[in-house]
Amino acid sequence: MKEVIAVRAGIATVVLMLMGGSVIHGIGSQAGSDAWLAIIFAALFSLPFILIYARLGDFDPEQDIFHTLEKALGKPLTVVVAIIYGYYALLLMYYSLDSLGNFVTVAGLVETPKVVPRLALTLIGLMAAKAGIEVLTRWCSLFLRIIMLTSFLALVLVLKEVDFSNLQPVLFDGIGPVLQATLTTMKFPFLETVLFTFAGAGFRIKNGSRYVLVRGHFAAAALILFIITLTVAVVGPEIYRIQYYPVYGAVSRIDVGGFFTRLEITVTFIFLITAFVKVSVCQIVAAKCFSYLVGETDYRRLVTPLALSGIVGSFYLAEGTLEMEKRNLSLWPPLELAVQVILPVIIWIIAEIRLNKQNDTGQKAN
Amino acid sequence: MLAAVGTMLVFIVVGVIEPFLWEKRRTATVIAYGVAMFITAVLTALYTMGIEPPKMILTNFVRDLFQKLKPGG
Repeated sequence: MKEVIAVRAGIATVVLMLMGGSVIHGIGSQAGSDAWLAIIFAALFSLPFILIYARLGDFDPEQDIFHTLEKALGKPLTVVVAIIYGYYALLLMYYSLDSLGNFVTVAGLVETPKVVPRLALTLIGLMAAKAGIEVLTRWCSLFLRIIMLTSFLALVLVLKEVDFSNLQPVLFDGIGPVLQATLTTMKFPFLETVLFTFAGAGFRIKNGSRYVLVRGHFAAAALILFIITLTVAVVGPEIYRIQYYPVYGAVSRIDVGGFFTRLEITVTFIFLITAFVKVSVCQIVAAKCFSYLVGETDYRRLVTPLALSGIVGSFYLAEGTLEMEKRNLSLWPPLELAVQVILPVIIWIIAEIRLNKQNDTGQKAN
Repeated sequence: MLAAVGTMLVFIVVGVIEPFLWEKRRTATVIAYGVAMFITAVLTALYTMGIEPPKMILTNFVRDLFQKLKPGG
């Protein structure tokens, strides 16, 4: 059975999860001053896939997605899908931990051992994952307001630095860089929503997945667009391209009368909260997938070892900020392409054909 | 070395105590939990000894697998 969550709480979780990591990195930086255009395109082009993820979640609102997969694909293929998505969830968790670890090292605590921020986030995420998706989503619905308030505060204070001429001329380098930035922005963060389908949350309304994922997607896109556009307007396209953490750089310019300074703490706060949500969701999804493999109904039992693997697992991936940046700007590596685009589309087509056929047979028998 | 032994001990304590706190224990779940915990504990202990895992090992493994499975590859 699914854990039932409130619609607003689900939307808040999707928003915070998508913001995890993406607000701190310069997403769509290939497009330079047209990053805002790339984000809008990415949000729109991602919509069909979001609708597919939502449809997969809404096939059987009473049961989790593995039930739908079993009916559509059969048990052996569902096992393969569970392994792939479990692996992807673990990998995404490692990337998020790595991202946070590098950020902490670069942004302030230079001498702090790399393992400390990773350990802290892993343990907090583990506690949240143990509490379950229901508790996490309720927490998110509260903290989304705080995040929005913090972003708004930073906006008001940074307004003095905003120069909208940094966003012009539009499409100066042609459509190529914008399209490239659109594809990378779809991969990270928009289509990472696929994991939320596997988190196995049920909703209190009909077609709840569609309602939550679509609204969450657009709310996250609006927030990301707002933050990134302001960042480009403040730092300019050239610095936006070359800085690892341009949002952090933009907010660090806030200086109100020489008294109100060092407000980059707001960015750190937003990043910590959103990274925590992303890591927790990844831990829950990984635990759900691997629990399915061993036939365990309570996913919380496998959360501990999977979450703790993040401490050392994050060191498997990239050696530093430069490699992390390269990964963020890469154009759909095979695993991401498979789990975000190819597999959902194939599963959806098969599920539509098979499940509708099963429903027709059931109706005729009645 | 001391840190590695300490890490192993923490993992063993957590790995032994936690399953006993479950209301119902299934053999498959306990084995999966134990195996996952063991692998994590060994890798973490190696890391505390300064033996860092080779970077990109997971990603490269999957990439190689894809290339091997590719028709004619």
